[in-house]
Amino acid sequence: MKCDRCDNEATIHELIVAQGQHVEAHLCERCARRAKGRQPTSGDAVSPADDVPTASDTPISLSPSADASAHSAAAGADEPPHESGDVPIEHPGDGAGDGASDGATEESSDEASIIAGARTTCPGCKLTFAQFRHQGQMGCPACYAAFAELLAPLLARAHEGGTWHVGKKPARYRGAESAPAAGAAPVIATTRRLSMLRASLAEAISNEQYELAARLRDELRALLSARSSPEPDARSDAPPRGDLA
Amino acid sequence: MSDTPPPPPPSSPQPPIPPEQLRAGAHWLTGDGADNDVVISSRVRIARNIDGFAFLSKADNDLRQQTLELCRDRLMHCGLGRRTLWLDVHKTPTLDRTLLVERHLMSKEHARGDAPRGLLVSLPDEHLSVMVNEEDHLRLQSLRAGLALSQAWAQVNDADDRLDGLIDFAFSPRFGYLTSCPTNVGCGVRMSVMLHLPALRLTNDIDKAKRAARDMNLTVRGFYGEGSEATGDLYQISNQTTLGKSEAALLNDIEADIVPDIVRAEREARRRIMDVRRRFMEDLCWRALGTLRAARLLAPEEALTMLSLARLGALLGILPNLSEATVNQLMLMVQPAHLQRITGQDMDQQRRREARADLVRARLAGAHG
Repeated sequence: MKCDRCDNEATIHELIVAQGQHVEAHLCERCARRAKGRQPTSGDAVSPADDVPTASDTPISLSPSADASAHSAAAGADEPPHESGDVPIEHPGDGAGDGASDGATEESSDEASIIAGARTTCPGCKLTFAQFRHQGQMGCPACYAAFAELLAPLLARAHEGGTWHVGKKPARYRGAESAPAAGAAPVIATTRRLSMLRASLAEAISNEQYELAARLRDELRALLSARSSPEPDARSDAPPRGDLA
Repeated sequence: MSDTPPPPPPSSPQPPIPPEQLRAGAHWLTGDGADNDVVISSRVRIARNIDGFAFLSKADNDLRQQTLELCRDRLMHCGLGRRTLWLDVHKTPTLDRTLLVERHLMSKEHARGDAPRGLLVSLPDEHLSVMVNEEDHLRLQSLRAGLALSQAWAQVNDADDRLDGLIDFAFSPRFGYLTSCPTNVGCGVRMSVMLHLPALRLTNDIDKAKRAARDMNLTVRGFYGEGSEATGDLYQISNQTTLGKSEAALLNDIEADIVPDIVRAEREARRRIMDVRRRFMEDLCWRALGTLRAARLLAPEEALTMLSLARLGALLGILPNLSEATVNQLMLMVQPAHLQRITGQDMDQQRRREARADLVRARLAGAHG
């Protein structure tokens, strides 16, 4: 069996029963050590969010706040604005998930995220992440926003490292690109470049290509600092409304 | 059949598909199209879901019915073609459902179950088909003869654009088109080609071709997709990645990159066998034709295996009086539902084997090689 967080063989298997739900965690020794031992360090401007969940374990100075932001309701400053509100993660019950939703102010261990994550519930259809892992199918479109950060490593594995959509969009999302407003096209281009860089950085880190990762990180930083205005918002992922607009 | 048929009363069973609606042979098996000596057909399928609607795994019958009616209405009014056939699949007789699966117009999964689900087919070419309420709310497919992924993509893309104005598709800028199963999320596109690779199998090079495809993150499967064996030396190659790759990149990987390489390798293997072991190849093809023209009982697997070799014989000029199109059509006609539709009888397995052998003998009576 493969590790939940990387492609290594899982050697540590945990079954946690919380809130009446069984949560399984299968980790390799390296990821398990990181889950137990990681401590927050000083903040870093580069926040690759969910694309690089293992960043803090590498020689590259990437803040765990990036990881924490991955589980927060408001993503890091480098996130496209439309993604900021995309993570309506609910943590019903005993508040065990609060730590994971407190963003950069609290430590966010992998362990906590696994426990909290498995109990994360989609506000639209009430599917839990644990149920999704069991059945392999989402319940509704809003599940993707609700489980966004937990899904990212799974999607990267299933799609050969792909974490961000490229390609066709519905007409209602194409408006921003074709809008004649000055600067619109370069901003979109920057967004795409950022997405590519994040994906490449995550891949480089997971392959332990630290030299390459450092170069990508520098490029990412340069691009972020050069970006002067927020990207045009497209549309937030709304919970199901049970009807068509 | 018009493009806007009145929807049937809610509880009435779907009448059998009128025989004239679906021709005896599907267009994608006519033997036309680019590189048709090796590439049988090309298919592009996209998955789309309605924003704000639960996916099928969470949908009760009422929601399924609501989805079905909404999609049917939009499909009938978006100008997909002059003639289309609409079927409420859940009310369609089992034999017709199997017929549609055999013609690759819908999946086996879509044929099962009684929950509300539908299928639209463009006529008379059967190029475009749309499954409603399969794993996703909508699955649009274009199926073409030969290597024609670009044309198939263009048709599906056009249908998608037409529906886009009428249905709000579930989409996230980050994850792309949102699908029930995350393995389809992103562009939601599955592109596949069906290849006839008998020579690569005979030269033991088939594994190299499979490896080359897998190295490009493509999946290699048998004639009937997931879990099926490569009966009749027919292989499907398709993409497995949909997130982080554009439609154009996928198209390029398959149509411009891997498939031309495999086509070249298969042709080269055919040439090599003919140069070095011509008598062996002649024997193989003639024996296949002999079996097909003499057998009194034929199981579908044996029929496909023999037809595969007969097709190779026709293409290599070993069986000059046998047309490739005849063999292609027979590959479809020997399938159980087609056989029963052609003979007009419901038959058990034993009777089908007899009827299959009779049909093949009759069709190949004039093929003297």
